Amino acid sequence: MTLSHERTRALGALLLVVLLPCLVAWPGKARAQRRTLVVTPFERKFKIAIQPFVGDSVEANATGARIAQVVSSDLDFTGIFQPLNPNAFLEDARKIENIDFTGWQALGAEALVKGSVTPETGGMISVEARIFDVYKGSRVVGKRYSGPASEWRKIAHRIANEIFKYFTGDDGVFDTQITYAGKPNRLVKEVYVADFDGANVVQVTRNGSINNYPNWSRDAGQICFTSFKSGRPTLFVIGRGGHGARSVRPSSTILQGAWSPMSSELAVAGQVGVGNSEILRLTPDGASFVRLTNHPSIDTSPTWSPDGSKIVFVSDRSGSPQIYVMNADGSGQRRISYQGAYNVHPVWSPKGDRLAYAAMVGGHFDIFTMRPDGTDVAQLTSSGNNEYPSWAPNGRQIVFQSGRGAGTAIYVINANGSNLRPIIRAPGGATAPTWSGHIP
Amino acid sequence: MKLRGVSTWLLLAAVLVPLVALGTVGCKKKGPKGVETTGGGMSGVGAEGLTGRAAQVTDAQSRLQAAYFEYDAFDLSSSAQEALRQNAKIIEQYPDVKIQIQGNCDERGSEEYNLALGDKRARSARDYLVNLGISPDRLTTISFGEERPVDPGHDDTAWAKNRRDEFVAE
Repeated sequence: MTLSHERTRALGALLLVVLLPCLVAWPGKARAQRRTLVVTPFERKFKIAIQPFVGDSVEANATGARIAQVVSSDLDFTGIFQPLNPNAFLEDARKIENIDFTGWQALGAEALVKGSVTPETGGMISVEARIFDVYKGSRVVGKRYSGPASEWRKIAHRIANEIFKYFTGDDGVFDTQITYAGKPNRLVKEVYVADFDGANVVQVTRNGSINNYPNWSRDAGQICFTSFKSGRPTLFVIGRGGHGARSVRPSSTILQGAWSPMSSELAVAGQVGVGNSEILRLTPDGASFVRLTNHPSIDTSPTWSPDGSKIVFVSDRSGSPQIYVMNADGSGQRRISYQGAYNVHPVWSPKGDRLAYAAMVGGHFDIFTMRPDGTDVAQLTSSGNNEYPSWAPNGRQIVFQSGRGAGTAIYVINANGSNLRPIIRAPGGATAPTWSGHIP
Repeated sequence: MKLRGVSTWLLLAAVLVPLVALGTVGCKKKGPKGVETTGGGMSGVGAEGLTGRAAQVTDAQSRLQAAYFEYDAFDLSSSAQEALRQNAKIIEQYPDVKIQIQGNCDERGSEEYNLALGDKRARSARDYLVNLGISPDRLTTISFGEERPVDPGHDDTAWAKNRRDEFVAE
């Protein structure tokens, strides 16, 4: 499967040269098993030349080179940009007037980035970034950033965000993080946080119990998660840095929770008050709740629409796990997934136009998306066991857990099925990833 | 039943507190070990009651059996019901023992969905036992989802063993 995937990729690249943005059919056995819309994993990438940022000292030049590398790898991560190999660059990186745009065109560059690094007093640096449109033959963005020299990486991410925003109209994800569950040993799960690309892993919980399903608050300052710390599953909230852990409602069994878009409430699955295990809205202090479902079957995995007006969830009330939607007050419950016998973990895209979810196909899971009314189903993955999708805040990428060969790791894929890449691997496996919003 | 449990404990406390005091003074031992030493040495009614309850828990545990489920199901098959009827008889014989019902799933299916499924499996058994006359006060439920497989294998045999409710005497 992997091989044929790669071969198809190569073919796609070839076709791309000849036909440019044509739709290429995705071959795979999954198509025979369920009717799916074919996605196009191959789209033409935007070629960009990023020259090393320059300065007046060895140190400034070294920082400048590192900044350019981070900007380059950030843009490469999106699968939308193709940073060109700097070895092919002929022009002096210091030249910012009378730029040879014809020469850059000859290299295939559509955009050009140049920059400079100036040390300031007190361990600060000032970084200037200039973005040129090669075909227009002019500078389109010029920005200056300053901050502690030690935070050069953060400045690089901000420059990458600027470039991404200029050319796509969307915010980049280079100031976001992923939270997930890691398994330091067989009987323990802890919550971790890493940068969007898997760098800078930090362990958030350290209680030696089972901690799972971490979910970000709006400002990414807090994470709610399910913990068995007190002997049975219930919901906890903890600061991103691992401080201030508290049980939201210690007396209740809560299997899973998700923050509302404004973080004013949590949607949870569990038994709160008397009765069956249901889906409820709960205030973050645990004090008051509203029961939304009232059904003897399984109701679980609630998440919110981006405007907070609706909640999607999983129920087996039809006899198998399927995706349902309801208004946030519990009214208007209706099933929306009708393809396949096992559809779980629905998550709403930030723009509200699609849901991502995991569906079982022939004994393993794949990631799919569909419109919120259940139509226009598209299959994104076709190899391995792929579960637990979560959208990037700009809706262009999806993070998910994937079992491919040894252990379960965390991957990202573009919402159109292209640009699959692993980002987090851990010895005991890494699961249940959730993508944060922009971190202030 | 609850009353009886409380009165037993009160009796235990009444006997043990002076015993412990004696033991601490006499043997110069402190903490839980002191209890064991004095209890064993004096062979009072209370001491027998203590080991008696621990023995009841061990005894009940050795006789309780797991109830098994079909794939992605939390309804009780006839064999699961039979296991629960047997368990109910045993639970009735140990009125001071409480039971934690632990719902478990095989590794197939989504982990988060299986946490909810395990919860349902535990509650199914609880409801059945309550219907058979076991006091709900003696029963608690917990789901471990896929986290606690009894067989780490990846085949039908392993999966069938892992789709279960376990009954833990406490």
